[in-house]
Amino acid sequence: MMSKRFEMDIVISNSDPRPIYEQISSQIRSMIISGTLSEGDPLPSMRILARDLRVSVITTKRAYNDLEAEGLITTVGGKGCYVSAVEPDVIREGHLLSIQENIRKAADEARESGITLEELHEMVDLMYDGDRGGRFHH
Amino acid sequence: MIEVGDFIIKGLRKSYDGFLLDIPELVFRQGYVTGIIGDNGAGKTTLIGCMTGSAVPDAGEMDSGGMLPAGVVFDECPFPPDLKARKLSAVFAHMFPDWDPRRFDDLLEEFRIDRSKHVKEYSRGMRMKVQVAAALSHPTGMLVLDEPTAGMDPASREEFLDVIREYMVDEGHTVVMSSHITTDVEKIADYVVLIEDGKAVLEGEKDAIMSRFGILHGPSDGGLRGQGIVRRRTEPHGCSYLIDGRDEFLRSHPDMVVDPASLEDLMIMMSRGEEA
Repeated sequence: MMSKRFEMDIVISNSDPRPIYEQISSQIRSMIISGTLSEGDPLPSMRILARDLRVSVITTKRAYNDLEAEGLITTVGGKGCYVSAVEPDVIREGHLLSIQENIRKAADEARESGITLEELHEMVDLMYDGDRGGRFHH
Repeated sequence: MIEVGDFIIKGLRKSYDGFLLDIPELVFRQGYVTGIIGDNGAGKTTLIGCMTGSAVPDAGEMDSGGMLPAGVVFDECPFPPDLKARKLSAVFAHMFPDWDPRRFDDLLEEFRIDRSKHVKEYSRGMRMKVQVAAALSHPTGMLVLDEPTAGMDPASREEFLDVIREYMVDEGHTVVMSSHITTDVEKIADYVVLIEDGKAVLEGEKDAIMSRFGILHGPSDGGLRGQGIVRRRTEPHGCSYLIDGRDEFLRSHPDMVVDPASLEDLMIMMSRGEEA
């Protein structure tokens, strides 16, 4: 029986300037905040994760410690690791951050290609309503 | 910070032929892999010999922290050369009360070892694999391996490292492994000990050590001085420097390029570089 824990994709890159423990914690963090992982989902133990990612146990331990300090995961009895109940505020905050990032990219591109702020606003209005409109028409 | 289950060496001394291994204190942490690196003749094999009982120390204490017995992989395969691998299993069954013949067969299969051949017909790398398979086929709390990847091709080395990774899933297990193939130590070790002239000159968390040191390539006059420059080595088209405290050095010399030091850089600079 495969449990959800084995479906967790974590990618480690040597060209990423961040230390490996941070690459791991940030990917698990976004899976929790985006809802890919939800409350009560089991995470692999840090030793299993170290084996699977071929990294040091010290590295996975540091990643899990950081996530635990943020209240995103809980370790039960020093063995099992589970996703904690995440406050709706935290999830909203996560979405806001990701939207901000997407808007920043859009704004940068608009500025570089001479598209005005009004045009950008117009696009956002259309998209936001358009999606909702789309759903109503079906 | 020593914890229950750690393997502790205290006041270890072993001398012969003008060589002295002198280790005031060394701790191998339970649940982690420690890589012992250093030049040939630096004392790695002597240290491992003292730990496993194949060498008798002149002085010193060793405390295995109540661990299960150790599985040992020697630099030179000690198995009878005229035996076939298939017969080895019967020999080990007499030596180890909890010998697991099935596990041994599975590991030989995984390592693609032909069991119908005699030990002497195997390449060095294959003999190491047979030793590793034997060490993993009875319950141990610790594996002590002397140059286990010597003679293995890259794919076999990776298979071997995966077997060690699997062994380390159990937090009660400890691995001590010497190697002059520093890339293997970089891949597998949590902690590193650098042995030079019979002394442990550097030890600590591998990642911390690797981010602490840097290599700077500079002009050949070798005249670069400064805080943090600990070794200098003249090369055909310039001079390399070993920097202790890469981040601090870069803050005070933002115009210079300092690459992270690999364990190999570190080993070469510590043993062959001049003090700067």
